[in-house]
Amino acid sequence: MNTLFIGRNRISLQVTDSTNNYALKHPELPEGSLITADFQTGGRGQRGKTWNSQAGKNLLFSIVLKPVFLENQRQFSLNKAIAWGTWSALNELFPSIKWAIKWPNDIYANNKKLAGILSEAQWYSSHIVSFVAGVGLNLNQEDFGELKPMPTSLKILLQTEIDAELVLSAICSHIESAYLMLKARHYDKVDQLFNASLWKKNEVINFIHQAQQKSGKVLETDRHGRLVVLEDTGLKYYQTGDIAWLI
Amino acid sequence: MDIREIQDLIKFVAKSGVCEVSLETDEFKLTVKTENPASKAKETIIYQVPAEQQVAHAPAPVAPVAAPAPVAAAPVAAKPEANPNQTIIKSPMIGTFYRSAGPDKPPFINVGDEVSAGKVICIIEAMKLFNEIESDVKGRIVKVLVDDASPVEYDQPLFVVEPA
Repeated sequence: MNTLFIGRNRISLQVTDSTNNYALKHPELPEGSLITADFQTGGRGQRGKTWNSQAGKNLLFSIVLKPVFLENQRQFSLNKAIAWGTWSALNELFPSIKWAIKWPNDIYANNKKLAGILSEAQWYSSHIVSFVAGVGLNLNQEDFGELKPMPTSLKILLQTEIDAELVLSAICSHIESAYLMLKARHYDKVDQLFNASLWKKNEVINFIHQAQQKSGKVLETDRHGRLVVLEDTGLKYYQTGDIAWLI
Repeated sequence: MDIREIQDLIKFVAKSGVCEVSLETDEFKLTVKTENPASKAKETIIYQVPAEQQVAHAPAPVAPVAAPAPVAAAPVAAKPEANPNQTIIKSPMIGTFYRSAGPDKPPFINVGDEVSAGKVICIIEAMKLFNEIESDVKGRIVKVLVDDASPVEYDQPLFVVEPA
């Protein structure tokens, strides 16, 4: 692993409920700890949603960070660093695929979901003491059943078996670069990188907001992670729960 | 000990209801004093309910519904916090407040429960980042000021705790 600290402490599990849960239950894990699993029995997506993955076919891992340096209200920068790091590694390894970050934290390959990120932070006295970024990436799984919208995998796109360690190592390295930018307080740089790889950037999208169909041009995300959309009536700032995409 | 740690200590002392804390190590000696119980209580109120928050986002513990409290309700909301024996746990961010780990899970804590420092008391979801908020005081939960799954603002009071 070509990194300074991410992945230096590696815990490889065959089966676990979720790598994020494992990390959260072990607060003694040092910064940079990497937890990988061949199979998760309780893989989680967003609140109450599950993340299902065939055994040994995919990349499931969590990274432990201790961003105690983070300034107030900058926590979304962490999401941006993780999402951009994942995007950047994939973009470099597999340039024939069109990669994008779907706001706020999915990775799309040729307009289909290929990876999802679930991050959890622990706060004490108004500061983040620990941050766990969980990534689930479809590697060699080819059958996703009835899932809608249908996701994709590297195997489906490239028609060849992909080496998990190669992808993992690249992602860790790119996430580490982005994290070090945050540590050097270059929040704006991470914002720029994230925004530059945003899905549908500068395109007009249709979406539902407060039971009304609207449309507008996606411009960027702001420092709080809100999506900035240019509508006929001017600039609008949306939180994740505010809108549903119509794709 | 850096400035931030000293600030945290001052905040902690102001909130905890004690009048004086002395800390001595090989390198330094530090004493934090609050003047007298009456003025301390006054300070605590100012700190806990910043002016701009009263106007825009004060919750109304008297009627904890999802609708935003009218501006006039803000002073009323401040009243239960005037008790110098109570401390307030506030939201460190804008987001959505959840009292449990998932829709089918029991609340982390209920009114009357004892909490220890470091115990998870709620989750605030912001931009799909799930933030576990730990109590920084040991004590008993007196009041939960926000309904499950409702939006919260930065610095908004969430829980009233009676320190043990």
